[in-house]
Amino acid sequence: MAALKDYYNDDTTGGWDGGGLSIYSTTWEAQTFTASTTYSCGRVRVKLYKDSDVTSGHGNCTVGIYATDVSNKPTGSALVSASLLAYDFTATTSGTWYSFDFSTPLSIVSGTIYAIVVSFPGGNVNTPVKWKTEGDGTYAGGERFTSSNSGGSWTDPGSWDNSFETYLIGVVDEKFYSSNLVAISKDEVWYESTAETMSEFSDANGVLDADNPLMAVEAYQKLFIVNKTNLKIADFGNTKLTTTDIKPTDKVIPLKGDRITGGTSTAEMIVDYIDASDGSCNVYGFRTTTATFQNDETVTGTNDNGDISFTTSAAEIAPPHWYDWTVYSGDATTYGTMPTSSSLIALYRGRIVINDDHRPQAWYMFKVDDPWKVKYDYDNDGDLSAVVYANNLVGQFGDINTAFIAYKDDLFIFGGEHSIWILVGDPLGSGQLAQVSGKTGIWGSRAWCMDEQGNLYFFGENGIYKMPVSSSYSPPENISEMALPNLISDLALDKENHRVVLGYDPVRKGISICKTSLTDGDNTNYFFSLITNGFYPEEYPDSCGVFSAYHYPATNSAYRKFLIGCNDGYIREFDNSTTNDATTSSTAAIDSYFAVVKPLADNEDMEGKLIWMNGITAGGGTGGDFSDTDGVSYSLYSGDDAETTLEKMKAETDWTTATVYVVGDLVIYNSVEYICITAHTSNADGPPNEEPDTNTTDWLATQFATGTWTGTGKQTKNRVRMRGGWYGLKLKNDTASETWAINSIYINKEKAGKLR
Amino acid sequence: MAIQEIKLPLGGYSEGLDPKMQQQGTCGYMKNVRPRDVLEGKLRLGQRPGLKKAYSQQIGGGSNPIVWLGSITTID
Repeated sequence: MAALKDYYNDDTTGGWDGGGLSIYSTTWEAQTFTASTTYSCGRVRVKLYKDSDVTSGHGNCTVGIYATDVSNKPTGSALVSASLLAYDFTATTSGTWYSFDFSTPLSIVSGTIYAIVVSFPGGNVNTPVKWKTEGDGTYAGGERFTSSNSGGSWTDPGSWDNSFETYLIGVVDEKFYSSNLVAISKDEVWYESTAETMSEFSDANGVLDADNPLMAVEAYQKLFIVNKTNLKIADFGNTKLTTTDIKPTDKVIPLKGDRITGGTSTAEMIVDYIDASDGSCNVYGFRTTTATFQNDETVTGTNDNGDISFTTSAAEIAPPHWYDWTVYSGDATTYGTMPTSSSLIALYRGRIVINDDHRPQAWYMFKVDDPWKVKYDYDNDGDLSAVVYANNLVGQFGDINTAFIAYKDDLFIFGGEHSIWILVGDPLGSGQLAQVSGKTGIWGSRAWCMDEQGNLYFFGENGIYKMPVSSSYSPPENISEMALPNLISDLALDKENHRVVLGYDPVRKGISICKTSLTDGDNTNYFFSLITNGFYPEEYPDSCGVFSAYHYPATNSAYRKFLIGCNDGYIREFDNSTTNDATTSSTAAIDSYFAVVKPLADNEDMEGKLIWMNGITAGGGTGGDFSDTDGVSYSLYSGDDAETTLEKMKAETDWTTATVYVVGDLVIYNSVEYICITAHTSNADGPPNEEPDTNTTDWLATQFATGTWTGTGKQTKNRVRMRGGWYGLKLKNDTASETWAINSIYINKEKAGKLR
Repeated sequence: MAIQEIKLPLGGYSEGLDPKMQQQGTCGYMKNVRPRDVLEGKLRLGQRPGLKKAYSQQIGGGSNPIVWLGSITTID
């Protein structure tokens, strides 16, 4: 097994017009490269030839991989090396690729610059080895160096680059694929070019318009994007060939799956897609050979229709590619007609499924394993045929499509505005369309997610719903109606102004439910824990408002994370070691709190007395094995009943001047909550009485006592001696760069007589 | 005299009941708190994890949100 990794082997632009300097004795050559991925390199190939006077007595030519210094020049001794007898090399000046296999593979680290060094110590000025060199020097990941003192020092001779290929070989490595993150903003597409680095897909710049609905799905090493009239493909797998005449006289066009071969290069490709049926055409396919297609070579093949033959108009172009999504060759007669505007997409049973914005109840399912054919063609394709909603017993369900969800391999959900329908099985098998709910729809194309068990969660008519996993499907149940009965009215959702996103975080075993303002990123969020089945309200800085969420299943487990796409264009993650929220250019403290309200007395007619309380904060002893908490402040409140007590601690608005306050208004001033006891307009009386802390005529502090638990473990008892029917305790921390956790709280209380 | 341990509202936020009837283990006032702490990952109440930039690149010129996130898997 050998897998090509890093390379500069494109010999078409200048035909390896340089022979390179002669390599002999102490005259060495080097080519640096930047590792595109992390891998074990067991082989280097370079294109060499020998002087015709080289004999077996001149010995071996050696190729080694070296580290590089701060100037990116080779340094130190070879990290690995291998040798071949130079006498066995070709003397033809066009050279030949020779493989140098290392006995122990070298661990190559992504993003690191290495140097390939070629030496031939037994040669002399009349019997050198030469390394084929490209004068155009288009390799961006490194450069060529020469040394006249056996690598003691190196000089850069200019824009030349030497030919090379590195291979993963001879080691057990099951990974032959890579997952890379993709992010879409308003009119830009970015992808992870190297680990943890996003690069813009420049060909896609300015094409999309994310002010319109936009969805995408990954399939067949491509990203299929629907954005109203923008139906696009970001193709990360195919190699592209171009020709000015795909169908010369007496020839036929290549079909999907055809194998074609370059007459000069001997390169081979399995055709995937072509964008024209005659004349100028781009051919996309998977190259199966190391050899690459060259400019101006004849490419041939055969299929049931006849012989394929066309001439390339340029050398092959490596992926990624950006192009319009059309049916195969643009031939609507044979392959069908796609909708002109679409905004929903999913992948189901190997079929791409899209909607038609102009017929909002309609759906199109492409042929299985063929995203280029949407024509219903049962005669030729059988059960694999494409299906449009009207072709089969299953069809429209009346409601407007709002979400497409491939629920399981044999269940597809059509989320509607006011209903949910499910397709059971394949539309060309025994597929049946059934209504799951006529009581709720799905709020939008991103307002859903699934957990690891396949349970579906979505935002619907009256809150958050769960559709439990089962052998078929089950009606959705509202899981928020007890905890969040006013969710819909509280959120005041408006599709023109808000986005709702749900995302499953498998690490934290929970669902992030996010409502974000489209205009400024203002947000309201809940974390729904699958461990406790509880909802936890959260708020993020406006810059961090959530517009998309995704658990990234990176190839490298170190990069597998639950990510959110934010209002300011940054991709963020929830990080346990981060104690602030990273805003666009700074950080913001996290204001975190919770409260408990409990009875002090035995019944509603009695009062109790809180004698003392204390808490046990997280961390054990200071230092030690367990991570230590930061401090947490507490506030104590009392009241005659539970609701009054809770109300006292819910002040969230800062006191301001020139404001009309009425009895019962709650404000915060200098971190203390106050309740208005006399209607007034603030600042009307002038100093010193306008502020709540001194204006005791109009304001009453609601807190009975405050303090801070600092350090870890059991706190000193707080002796408070507070009377009341009920007590409330609020724990809070809003200090930058701090985080906290608490194990338990204890109180000591006693009876205090009848309620006054 | 009665010493009591207060049951922490690990069950999260709930506004569906009169606070007097508050479900065991829930509370009516909470923000930015999660049931599994960031210090040790234990099931106890604590501040939620902070939001960190996962990538240093700002996408969309800084004035546009990221509307779609996903990944693409390709053969090496």
